[in-house]
Amino acid sequence: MHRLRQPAAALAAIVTFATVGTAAAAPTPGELKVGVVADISTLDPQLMTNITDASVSQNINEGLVRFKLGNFEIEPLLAKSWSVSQDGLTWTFELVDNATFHKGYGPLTADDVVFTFERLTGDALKAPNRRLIGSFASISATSPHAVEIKLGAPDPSLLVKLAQRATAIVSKKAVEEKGAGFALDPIGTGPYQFDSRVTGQTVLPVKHPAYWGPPATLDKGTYTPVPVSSTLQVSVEAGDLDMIPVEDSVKLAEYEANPELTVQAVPGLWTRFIGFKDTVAPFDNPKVREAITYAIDRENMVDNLFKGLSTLADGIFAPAVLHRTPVVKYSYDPEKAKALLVEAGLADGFSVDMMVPNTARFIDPATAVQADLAKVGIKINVVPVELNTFITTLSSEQGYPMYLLARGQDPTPDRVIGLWFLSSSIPTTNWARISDPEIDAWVKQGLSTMDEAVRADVFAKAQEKFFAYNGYYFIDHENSITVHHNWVKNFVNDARNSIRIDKVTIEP
Amino acid sequence: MARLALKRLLAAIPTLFGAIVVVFFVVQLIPGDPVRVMLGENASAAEVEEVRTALGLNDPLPVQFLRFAGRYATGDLGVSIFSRQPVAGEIAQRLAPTVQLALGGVLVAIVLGVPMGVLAAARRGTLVDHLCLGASTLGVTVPNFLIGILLSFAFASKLGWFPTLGAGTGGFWSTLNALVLPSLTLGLAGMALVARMTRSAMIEALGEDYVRTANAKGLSQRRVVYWHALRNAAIPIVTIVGLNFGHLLGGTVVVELIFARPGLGKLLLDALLARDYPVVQGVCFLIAVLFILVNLIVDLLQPLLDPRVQP
Repeated sequence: MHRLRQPAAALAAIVTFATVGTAAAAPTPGELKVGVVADISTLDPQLMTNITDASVSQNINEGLVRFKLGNFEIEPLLAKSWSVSQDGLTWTFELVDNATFHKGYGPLTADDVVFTFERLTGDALKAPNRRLIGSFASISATSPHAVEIKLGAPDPSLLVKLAQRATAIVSKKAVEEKGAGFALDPIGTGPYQFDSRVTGQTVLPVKHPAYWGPPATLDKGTYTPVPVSSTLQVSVEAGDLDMIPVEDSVKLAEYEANPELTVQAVPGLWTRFIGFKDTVAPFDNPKVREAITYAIDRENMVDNLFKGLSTLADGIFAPAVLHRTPVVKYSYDPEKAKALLVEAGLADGFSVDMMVPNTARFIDPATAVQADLAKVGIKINVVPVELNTFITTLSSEQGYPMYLLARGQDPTPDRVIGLWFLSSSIPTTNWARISDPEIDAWVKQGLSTMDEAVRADVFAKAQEKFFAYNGYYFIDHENSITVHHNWVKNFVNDARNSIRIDKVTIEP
Repeated sequence: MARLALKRLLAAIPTLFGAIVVVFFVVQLIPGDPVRVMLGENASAAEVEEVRTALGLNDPLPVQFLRFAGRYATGDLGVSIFSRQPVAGEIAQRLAPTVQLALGGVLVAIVLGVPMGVLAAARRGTLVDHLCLGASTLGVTVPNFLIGILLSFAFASKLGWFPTLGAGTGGFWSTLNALVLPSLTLGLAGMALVARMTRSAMIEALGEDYVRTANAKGLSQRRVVYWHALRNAAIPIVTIVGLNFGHLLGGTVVVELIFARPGLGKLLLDALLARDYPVVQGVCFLIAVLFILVNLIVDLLQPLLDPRVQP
């Protein structure tokens, strides 16, 4: 027996050791622990491209304006007021005069604003979003607290661009002092200042003691990247995290039934769809594309597969997008689909590969589509492809004849409507290859006028005609869903899942 | 011994060069584009081209390779396309958690695997032997992501003994506490392998003449097994542990994902998915270096364990 004693002793030691540390199942006063899916890539606002970076950064670096909490209305921030000339080409922004940068980097001045915009477009930084303010002809400081921006052409969505991360104001002095190291210690004017980061593990913004506006309500916020959804779930249930995003319908139902947790779901800025390359057989035949719209039961998909994770698409754009029109209407009628296929000369149906990115978000609906289309004689072979390879191929001359994907949008339609609808965007972003002079004219008119009534009218016409091509079959708008413990108060989720924490409190 | 070490290190240089050539070109062969990842599916062709040119990604491959090889020759691993930080720094920050995890995995494999193998060999053919064999088969066959999720659910979520995620908050105990479940997850498959290898090496050793002599001298069973037989069975065990270290480094990717630990595996995976070429190249280079070093250590250990093996 004595030989067995050693493993037994080792086990006992492990158990004893295990009881030394215990996981916290209660809130930490003054601290919000947020679980995010992706790792932080950079904290330099001008270099940012992913939503996780933006979530953290919005608490640290402020823009001239921002979106109101929970929606996409613009409100003043570092610019207390602004005016625009009659021709829409000259914008003047008055800055607040009491904003100071973190860690003793001095007061915010118009020079910092000019520096930030020149930094974004300059060659030295090679910033990915440099084209965001490509319409700027010049920018200058007209006083220590006023800047004037001259545009080459009117830009109806300028304020939305100024509410985005790439245009958040940085301290000129700090950037010049720190160089590339600025991303490791970003200096802004926000309610929280950067404290520390353990790469791949946590980022910690702490309260900015000299904040110019209403003081931050938390002492600190900890953002932890957790790539595996089961770990996110276990961590929020154990209380190691206060708040996480939800992407699983079973878990969503569980959280909704749990009285200790609060679920906040709002329609997100995504539309999931099936796309066709309208220039290749059999999708070059409009009857085939129309037949497919009758063959898919998307209500069934949204009710029984997504179960609260998404909302049936009633527009090309998500509900929160300005000037979106509810043009999407389909009826499920497999018999009509079969009749249309007969008219198209495909009475025996056909076989086709449908490409999808290799995650459940796309494979699951693709499987449902496969079953529906099989009933009308269309045999789908679902081919999962790694996302980056997928997007690169889809955006190339080659493209995919049939695929399933979701597309993200902005609060204003300007950027995406140009990219998706214009014939000049074939093949990079106009994947269906829709080339229609009327749509082109409407879109160009809407993009170049400041008159919102005209924009609403021409964008609506463009959406209606674009939809009628059936180059895409729009399935649903994915929701932005967050679950948090009830001790987290005053948090408001939004369509971008942007996790603003300046008003959040922890109340055990 | 020192001469052997030097000789092996010099021999490693062409291996490393071969590794970086392969890494450079294989990574470029993967379809996809880091700028597409950066700008998303809504970027226009002109935008993508502009950023690609600015980042030097439109230069011909041989030009890019020369730039890359020149940098490596001077010890510069380059700059990440996404974070714009030096790759060496990114790696350095994540090296410690991964090395801790890999060592933890090795420790679990040895501490649990060797006694299990010895026990099975000493009680060959009995219920104990069958139980040990069964446990090791289970260890090899159950995938580590499942083991990780089960351990996390039981010991972190339900019992609250260990944190569900992260690598601790900095202190020694916190780091150790956060290391237990990931190390177990990583080490169980290695444990099974070590147990099986130990068992067969021990069975062979226990049949040797010197064991019969030791038994005849009236030594205790424990002394015969641990002192005489195990020492002689150690060489194949050390070799298998060394070889297994490479598998453990690969296994850290999954374990780091499940326990949301920062580490090289996670860094490599993210970089691959985003086509962050400099980071992929840097991490692969480091893994090649680690492999070569571990093999060197195994080679150097063998003469210490068995004086008959000449350095």
